[in-house]
Amino acid sequence: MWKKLEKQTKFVIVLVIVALIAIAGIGIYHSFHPPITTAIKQPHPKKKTSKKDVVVEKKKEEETTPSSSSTTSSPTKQEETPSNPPSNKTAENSPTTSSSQKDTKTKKSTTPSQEKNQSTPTPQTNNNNQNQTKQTTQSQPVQEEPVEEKIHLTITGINQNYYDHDMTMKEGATAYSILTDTGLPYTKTGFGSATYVRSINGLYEKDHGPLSGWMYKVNGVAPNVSAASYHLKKGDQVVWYYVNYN
Amino acid sequence: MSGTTSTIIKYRPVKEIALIGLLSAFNIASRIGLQALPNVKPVTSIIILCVILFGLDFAFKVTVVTTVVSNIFLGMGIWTFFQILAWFVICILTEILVRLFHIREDKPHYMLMACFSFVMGYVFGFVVSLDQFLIGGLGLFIPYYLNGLLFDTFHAVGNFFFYLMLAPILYKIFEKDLKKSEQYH
Repeated sequence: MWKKLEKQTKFVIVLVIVALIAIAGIGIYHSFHPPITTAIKQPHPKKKTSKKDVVVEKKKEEETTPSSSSTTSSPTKQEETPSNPPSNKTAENSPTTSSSQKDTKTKKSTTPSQEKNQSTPTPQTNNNNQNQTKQTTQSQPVQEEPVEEKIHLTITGINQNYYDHDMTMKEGATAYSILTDTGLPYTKTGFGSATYVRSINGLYEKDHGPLSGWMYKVNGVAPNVSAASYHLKKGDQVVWYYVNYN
Repeated sequence: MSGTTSTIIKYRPVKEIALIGLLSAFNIASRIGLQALPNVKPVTSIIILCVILFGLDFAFKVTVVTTVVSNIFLGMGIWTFFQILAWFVICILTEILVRLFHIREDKPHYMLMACFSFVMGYVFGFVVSLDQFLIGGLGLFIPYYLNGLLFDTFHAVGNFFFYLMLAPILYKIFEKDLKKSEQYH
């Protein structure tokens, strides 16, 4: 049977067999030494990015860090804890968040000129901010609000916030799915683990050069998976921000 | 004529090239024209019929021309190599089946070959999915292949019906040549 075949046909058959053996060999090697690791980094709340382009983001983060219930060793925390009883730690956080939000909002509306020189966030503004939050926490009565059921979402465009509110945690919420609850228009391409957000509120990727677009952070860390496959936990701080690496 | 000689149609080189061009053109046109239907293409059925009628090397040539030219339109990539490999494997499997059961001496059983082309849909999907096995090992291959099983089913069902449709037509077209080549043996 084999001898009757033409020479080129034999050559092709040998080639196919060699190719299949090679694929099997490399595949078995790759099954034991997987070249693609799909491990997700553990979110680390203390970590802060030092990129110059994401200063808007950085500022946001600094403002929201006092509200995170994790054990951040910021000076405000240490100042606050002696005055308040340590038992209702979570309860005291909620007014801080809301106050800091209000703070940012008022600041944004009143002093837009300050927004433009964001490249060096001065410690002065930070101190002011912290003082204000401290005052408000002391003045306001302690509210019983379940902070753990909430997700805080901030959508930061260029020099302005499109969205900055708490939202209730839904079952199986991902960093992408919470965008629908904001009411802002957005476009995306792909689906599942290949979802890519192209625009939010009319601000498109590549509008400000080829290296600009939307990114997201959860608790200050940019995950290396698609937003639609990142499942959120209770009390996560999600930030969608527009970057420009040009 | 000894018992096991296969009766495949042999043409002069010029006529063979013309026929390869025609059959590949049909395959390419069908692949581009039926883009809307996922995997429902007559290509695999045509290649199986090519192996039965014209032999293994003819089917290899049709495969290469079909894949390379249609992927110029549909998109080149690593999958081009794996599609060629998959159809080569189908050619070889068909040849083995044909030789084992001496199908060429008689007209091959109509429904049996249709069922065989149904199975070949899954074989094609398996071999094409092997590129993920090459890249990422079993961890990547198994989910990729399981996700593609539905589309392999489309391919298999398409093969089944296209074989039922095309086999009588091609046998009728090449009836004369088939009889002539039987006389030579």
